[in-house]
Amino acid sequence: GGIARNEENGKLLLHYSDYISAGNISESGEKLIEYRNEGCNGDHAKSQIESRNKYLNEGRMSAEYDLIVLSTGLKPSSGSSKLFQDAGIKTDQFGFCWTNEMNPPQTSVKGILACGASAGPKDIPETVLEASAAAAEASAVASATITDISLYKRFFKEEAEPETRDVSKEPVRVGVFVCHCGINIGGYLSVSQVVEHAKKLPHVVFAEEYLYSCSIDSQKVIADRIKEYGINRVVVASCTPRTHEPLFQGVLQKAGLNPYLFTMANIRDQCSWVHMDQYKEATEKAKDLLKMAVGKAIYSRQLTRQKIEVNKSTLVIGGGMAGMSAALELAGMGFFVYLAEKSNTLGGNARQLSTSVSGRPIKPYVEDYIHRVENNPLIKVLLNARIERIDGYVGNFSTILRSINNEFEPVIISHGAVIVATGAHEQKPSDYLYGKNPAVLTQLELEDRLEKRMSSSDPNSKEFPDSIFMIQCASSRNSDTPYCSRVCCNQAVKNALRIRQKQPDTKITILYRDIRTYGMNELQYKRARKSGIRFVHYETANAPFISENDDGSLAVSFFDGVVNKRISENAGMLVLAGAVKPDADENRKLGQMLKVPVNQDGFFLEAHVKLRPVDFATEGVFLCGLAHSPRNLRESITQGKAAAARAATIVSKDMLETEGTVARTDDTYCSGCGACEMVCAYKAITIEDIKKRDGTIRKARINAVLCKGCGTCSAVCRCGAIDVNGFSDRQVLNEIDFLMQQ
Amino acid sequence: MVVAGAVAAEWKPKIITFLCNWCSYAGADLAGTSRLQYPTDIRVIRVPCSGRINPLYIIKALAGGADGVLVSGCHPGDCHYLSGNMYARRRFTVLKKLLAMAGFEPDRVHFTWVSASEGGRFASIVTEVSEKVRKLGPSSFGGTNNEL
Repeated sequence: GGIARNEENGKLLLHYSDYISAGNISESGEKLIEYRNEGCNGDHAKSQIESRNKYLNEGRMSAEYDLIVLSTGLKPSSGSSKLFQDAGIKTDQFGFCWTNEMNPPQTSVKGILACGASAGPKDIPETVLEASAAAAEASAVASATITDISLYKRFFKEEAEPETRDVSKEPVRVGVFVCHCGINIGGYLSVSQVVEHAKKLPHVVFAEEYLYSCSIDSQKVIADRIKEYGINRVVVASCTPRTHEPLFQGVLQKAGLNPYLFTMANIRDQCSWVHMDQYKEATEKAKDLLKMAVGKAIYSRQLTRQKIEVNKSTLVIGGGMAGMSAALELAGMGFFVYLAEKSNTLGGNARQLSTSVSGRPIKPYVEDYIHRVENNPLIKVLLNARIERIDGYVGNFSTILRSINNEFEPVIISHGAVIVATGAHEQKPSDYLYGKNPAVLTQLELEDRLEKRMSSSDPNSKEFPDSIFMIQCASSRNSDTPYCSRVCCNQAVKNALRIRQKQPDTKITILYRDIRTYGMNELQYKRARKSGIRFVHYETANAPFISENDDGSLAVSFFDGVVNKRISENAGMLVLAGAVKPDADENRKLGQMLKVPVNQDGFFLEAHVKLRPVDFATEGVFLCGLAHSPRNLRESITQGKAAAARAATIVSKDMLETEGTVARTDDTYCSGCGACEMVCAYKAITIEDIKKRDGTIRKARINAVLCKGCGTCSAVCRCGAIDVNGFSDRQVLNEIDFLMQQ
Repeated sequence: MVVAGAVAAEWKPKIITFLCNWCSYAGADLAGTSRLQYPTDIRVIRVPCSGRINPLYIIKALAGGADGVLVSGCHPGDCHYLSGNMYARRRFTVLKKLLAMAGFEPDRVHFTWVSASEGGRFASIVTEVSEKVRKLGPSSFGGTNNEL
């Protein structure tokens, strides 16, 4: 293939070959001869080559395009090789930093950690995970070695709490900041029209637009404008408050304003992104949303946050490798961990693995992990444990654990954070004769065989048959399980190479839809192909078919796209790539207890795919391992450490601040009827006797620490005596007024 | 209260939409991240919980001239605040009857449940509700001086 330019019209000419089974194409025709079937006569082989050449020639295409986009890869940045050399750390053949597969992100030099793309090409979520994991490791080292923190105080500039100015006596002065978010907003509606419209609204004294209002530069500009224009209500029209409200509240604090004087208009996730073809209407809607935000902002008040004590233990749910990594990391930092495991052993899925992706034996490593967990004085392991109930909130959770087999009495534990590491399992396929013929296995079952084979002392014993077939995507990427299970291609290549290593004459064929040996494992894939392992592509429309011969042996029928025929061969063993499936029902139950979401496939849903991969939107709860999505051992360990780092941000604090958006009562209107007390799910309201000079009256009293600000009490109050700070009646009604009237 | 005569060609319905912060608002955000497209008629007001919604808000919205109201919370059993949506559900059942008695077309007011992972469902509900409201024509309330 190649790219040329058509001199006549300047368009780009792309030459390419439209091969169905692209993986098998080799440069010369001779390679094909190795590829023929067993028992094939010479004529058949000849006709294969003939039809192949015909296909090769007819497959050549070319087409004209105005724009061709090249997908290039990643390579280490230019300064790194010297940096790595100076540090004395090992790099791989491409110049990426080598990290320990079983102990990421540790490099070859103890105490030097590497994360992100310096350690190999990876996407943003993985980068963030590795960074968090590295932070956890560094914290653990720091906790162990630093005995007197005051020695280091001189390195930290104590940021003085900026003085907050009291705006309660000032006339309302609203500042509006509208964001382009690059082209995400600016490309789909007119930001300048929104700004112009804002200027006309009551109480607005300033309006300006920015390319990215959340950038460090813009944040500084916003803070400056607040001071310059005496702004005491801030409206930012950009993305969603669910991710960015805390950031902008921080900007307000730095500028000396109470953070609750901030309101956000969502003109991206709920406007520009969902109306990409309706410029005019999207602009009108954005103007409306801004109006409403200004209406709400006008009635924003300065709110105070309550301080609550934090319980410094963490509950880790799940004793697999991810859960154990999280527990060990937290214990390394000096925090106490409860590790609850529903089965009677630790180790999870790793117990079924024989070697890691790069071929290292896993069992000794898993056993070492279990040993370290069981002997760590800061980790309390509870096996056969079921979670019955989780109450409370970040910093103050209370969980009831029951024992499955009466091993222990029900325990109530208090903890400040939760890490969900409930894992997943290999789904046994429902077709390809699995369960019906003993020669059909899953990849994990093959690992078990390999483990036994490796430990068998007789080098001549033939554990594996002469011909082995593997089918990838056997139960993934279909309507039941639409996602890719990620681990199976690497696992198949790994296992196939191991079998060949022990029995070089074994004929192995891997039937695949797409080979996804990502990252450095592409090299293993090349090795596998060079070693003679056969890779045959299949389409779902023409999937392989398995049947039994009369003698009970397996016959594999598959379509070969190169010769355009269905071929049938005998197989002594068939290995299927089972899907990675979570226990969706259990996850949903746990999700309800913790108030965290579970997606359609039954995996837990993180707060933000890229920037908060181990957080839940619910504070104090974190996630790692297969409970999140299919991943290999190294990735699970990294995620476990990352979750520990995140949980440590909670449990390392002595006090946490609650949100100021709580309910409040007005005795003038309260009749003491008790409707609010009845509906409060957190028991935050009680009707109390208030002593007055001429007797006692009954009024509602709200505990601001327990109150979560849901507002159910306010909506049920017949007297209008309860309101919710931050979402007050006046604010909501003014949003409606401004929308309909301005 | 259907407006008699031809509807102005430029009529763009306004459907005031109350979304609970933890489920429905997140679901709407997910529809955005997934770039699902839906009609431009809704105007969202974020509330902490569907239980926060005082019936007064819905009446005020309609009396203020909104052509429709959509309320969405967490699925029963999944409320972030444990039971807020249960009280909301009961409240809205009664409110719907009251509004019907007052002469509002039932298809102007909708209550539904959308979870944080249901971006697609949110988009289809908005499309459906916008369709229904458009069929009914503009609200006959209009007017900016209706102080409740």
